[in-house]
Amino acid sequence: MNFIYTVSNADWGHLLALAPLVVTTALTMLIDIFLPAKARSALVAVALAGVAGSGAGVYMLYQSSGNVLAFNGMITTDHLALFGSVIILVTTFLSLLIAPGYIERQGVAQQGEYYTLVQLAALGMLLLTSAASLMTIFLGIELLSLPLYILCAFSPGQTKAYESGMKYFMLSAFASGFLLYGMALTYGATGTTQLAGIQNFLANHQFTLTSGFGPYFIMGMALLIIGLSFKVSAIPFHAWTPDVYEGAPTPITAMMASGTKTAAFVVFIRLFTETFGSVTAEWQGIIWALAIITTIGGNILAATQTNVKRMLAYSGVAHAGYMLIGVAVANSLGTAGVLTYLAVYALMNTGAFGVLSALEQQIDTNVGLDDLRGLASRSPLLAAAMAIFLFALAGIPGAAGFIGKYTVFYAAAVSGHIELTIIGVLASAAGFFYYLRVIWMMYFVPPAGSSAESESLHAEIISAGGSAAAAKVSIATAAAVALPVGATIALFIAAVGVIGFGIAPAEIIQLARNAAGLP
Amino acid sequence: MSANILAFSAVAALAIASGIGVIAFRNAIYSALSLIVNLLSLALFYLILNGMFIAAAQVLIYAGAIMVLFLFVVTMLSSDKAELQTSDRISWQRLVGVIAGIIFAAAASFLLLVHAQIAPDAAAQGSNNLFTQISAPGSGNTEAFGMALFHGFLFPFEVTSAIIVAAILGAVVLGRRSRAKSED
Amino acid sequence: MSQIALELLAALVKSVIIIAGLLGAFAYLTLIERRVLARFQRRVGPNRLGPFGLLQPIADALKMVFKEQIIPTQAKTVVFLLAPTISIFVAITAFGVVPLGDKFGSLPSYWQPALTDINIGVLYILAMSSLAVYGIVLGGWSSGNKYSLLGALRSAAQMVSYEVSIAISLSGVIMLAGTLSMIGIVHQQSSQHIWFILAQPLGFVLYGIAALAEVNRAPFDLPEAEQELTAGYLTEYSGLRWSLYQMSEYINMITTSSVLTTLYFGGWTFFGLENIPGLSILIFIVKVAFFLFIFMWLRATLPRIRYDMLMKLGWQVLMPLSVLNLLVTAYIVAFQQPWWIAGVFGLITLLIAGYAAASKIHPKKANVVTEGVALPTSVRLVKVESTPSPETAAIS
Repeated sequence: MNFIYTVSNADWGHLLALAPLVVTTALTMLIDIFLPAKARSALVAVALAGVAGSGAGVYMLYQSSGNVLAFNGMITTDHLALFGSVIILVTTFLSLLIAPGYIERQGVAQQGEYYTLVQLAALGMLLLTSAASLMTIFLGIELLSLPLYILCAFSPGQTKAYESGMKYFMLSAFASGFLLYGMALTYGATGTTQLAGIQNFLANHQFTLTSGFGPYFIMGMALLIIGLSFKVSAIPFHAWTPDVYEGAPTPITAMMASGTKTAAFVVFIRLFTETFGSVTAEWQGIIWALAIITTIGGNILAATQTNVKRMLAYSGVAHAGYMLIGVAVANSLGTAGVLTYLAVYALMNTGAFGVLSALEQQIDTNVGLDDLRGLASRSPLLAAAMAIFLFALAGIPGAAGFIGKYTVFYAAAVSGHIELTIIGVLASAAGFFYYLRVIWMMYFVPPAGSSAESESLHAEIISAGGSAAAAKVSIATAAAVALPVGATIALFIAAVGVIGFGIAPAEIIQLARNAAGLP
Repeated sequence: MSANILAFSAVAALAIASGIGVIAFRNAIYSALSLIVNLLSLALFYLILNGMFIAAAQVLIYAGAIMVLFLFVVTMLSSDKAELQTSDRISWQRLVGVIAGIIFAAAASFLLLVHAQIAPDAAAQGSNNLFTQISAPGSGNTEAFGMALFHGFLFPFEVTSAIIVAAILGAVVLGRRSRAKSED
Repeated sequence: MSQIALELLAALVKSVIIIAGLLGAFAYLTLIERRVLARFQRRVGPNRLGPFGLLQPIADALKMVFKEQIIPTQAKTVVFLLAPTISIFVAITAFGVVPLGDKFGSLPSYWQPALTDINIGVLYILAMSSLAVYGIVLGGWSSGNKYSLLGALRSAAQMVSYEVSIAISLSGVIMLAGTLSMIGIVHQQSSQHIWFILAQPLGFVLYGIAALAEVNRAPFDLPEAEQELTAGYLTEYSGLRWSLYQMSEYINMITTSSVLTTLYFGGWTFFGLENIPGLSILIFIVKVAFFLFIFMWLRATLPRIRYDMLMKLGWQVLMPLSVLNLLVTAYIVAFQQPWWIAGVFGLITLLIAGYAAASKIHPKKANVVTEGVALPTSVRLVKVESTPSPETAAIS
């Protein structure tokens, strides 16, 4: 192999999905200079155009056929990458739609930087899904993390925001260290950083834990698992999740929760299910254990929360556990399940955070459980949307979340891991509790007033396991919620998607199966 | 024992000692100094591998620029109370961490140092790769490095520019905000 | 003797000569600088000890050796003692790759008057001189003195800012030469039949200015600005440790002059005269001495610039211009254009920049003080009323 590789024209074609976003990122920064402060919210249009352009690029790549590797095996545009890219683009699109109203309410002055960073983070996620070399994986993770650190600390003057950014930065940098060390050992063991090369090497060589290149490789793999588990917030690498999600601006939380998870799971699949596919026995046990701990732990932790954003963060941990079940079964069926799950999760999760961002009217109002009281009578549409997303997250049949869970659990059962199926089903049944509690608050509890009813209600909440904050009457409880146009569209899209995929799931399952290489 | 192994052992000892120093010193400035020594010993590793260009770049960028800024901030912030005094609420975690770390290090070094061997064709694959070619003695390894960077590794190289843009934006966002606050 | 032993011997001998030479050069540079400055200021300068004051450095050295070396009570002793050593170590090592002359006739190449020829010579000098800042920062911090710390911090900021311009402006030469080796660059200049100053006038000026700042010489000697900071990082140092800092400053100056000579003025070559054995070293020394004289000249002439202007100059003027220089040089190298395009371009840029600077320093309307001009609060105008003097009053 000669490393002097000349970039050909065909290589550039593989950037179709990335290039529009790169262009609009640069454009956003340029236009920002010339816009007056009041007109800066128009920048969201540029960012949306970039996402749409990237979507078009993904479609063109999907239509094209031929060699999927480009740039000396650095990136790939196979169907797995394209499927992940679509999910990320949709999430980014929805998050961008929610953003203007939120930014206006929170009084964020630096809108140009905000949209630029969102696009850069999206670029990083896209890069991560299409990475075909350890080097690109690392760069992708850095490119998605760095903007997110900054965005987490974006809300001005909030200690929680700084805490969020700082925590994410420190812990994430630490996790990157594990990841990098794992990559170094893997490279040392196999002599190449390209995933195809590693796969080829593993197929042709024998090793054990104590002989040959085994120690290097197994250590490397273990460290890779740690690094990636941090990104998908699997227990016990989840500790950053609630604090970071809580302090970050809610549109960013929405994007982080689904986008990062999608990108990291695609890498998980690409590295473990595909590249290390011939040595499944060496890693399956670890992921299996991680999946079980995460599924059970995430649900228990979520049930104890009274802050809705933190509750959703822990529920994200639980969902990561369900998806890890799909990785743990280590075959294409599991991959298809994870991909389906990721697609529907992106819609319902972004939708739920979208509702929350609409409720956060002012600086420092994090939505607590009792802020949601009687939301149905004040803003019936918003409450209905929230109910749809929560039903979906809980996995009630008819909403999209069920499809995701079904495909993953089905894959586990068929592949001989019936124990994972059972644990998953039981855990999701337990998860109904905290999702339905929110819905019950919205629909069956009147808004906070002076009645004795609310007193008893508090007692109920406390007995329900949460230490409810003292009856603070926030603005959200006092009046109906005004919904900006962008957020309305975003919530509408998400809700239609969730219901649509819930009723007619055949298409998305088929696409996911194609991406996983199944007929 | 060849001279290379002797040199490597000496530098490795230095690197490990300074690495421990980074986390063990209570005074942030001594930690920063240990980090500088650590980075310089990395440069020595590259020199042992004949990677002159990387060694010089390591010194120039890490020791010469980044760490200067570190030291700049640290001396400016902690000149009054040099010793970092934080009350540790979960001090048992430190003990558990140390024990777990020792176990991990022992297991890893046992596996890696006692049992592991580089597969010959992995080494061959690697030797055809970037890092051996640029460290070939006598050849201008700067040229080889440049060729690799702008041909086979062009794509990652370009991606780093996006990462730098993100970092610069971060500095702008967080820096400008604190300035705006102080002007209020 | 075997080849390796011979090479080792050669390296040892050359190292000793270079170090001794540098120390001697330092001693006499102090004398020369004092004499030159005295000339500029219409004084005589030290001329008492020996002919032309030639024994003055020895007297100075003796004095320094016998001075008490104070360690302040609030100093961090280990670092305080270590810091000057770092400075001098870095300064001397950086000089290691400077080629002093052509090789002598038929002697083997390891007897060439250059300690070593590594293929990253320029980068090595940059790396080493970037470490010089540690000597100053640590010295300033460990003194436990506010003035020292401020001086140290200034120097850190200054050196990091100017390093960027240095590296970028030097890359012009590196691209033209196609090598990073110092000896290789000299050979390239003689084989291309130019001194790179002709192709890189802009790069030369930019590097000259930035290097002046990098070695903390006037007018960029803010770390030791005596009006504001007593003596900056040097405040608490006395005796030999103080002179170690002085030594490293002068040796850095010599290194910088050598780099200017090697990269822009053809190193030891001078229109074929270098072929006479032994003369190449002399040519090199003369060239270096010329730049050293310019350093002193600048110190005598220019006032120290203000700190914010220093930063502005570094980031807003030098760096963009050096990137411009880099782009133009890249253009002529990549498209194989003749070198004079870059030269002419550089000269024009220099003229424009010089004109802009001149018109900023001497604005056309500076002398016309009108009533409505909004002056900064720090400026107070004195109104001179033309009262008649007593004599004229008496006469009238």
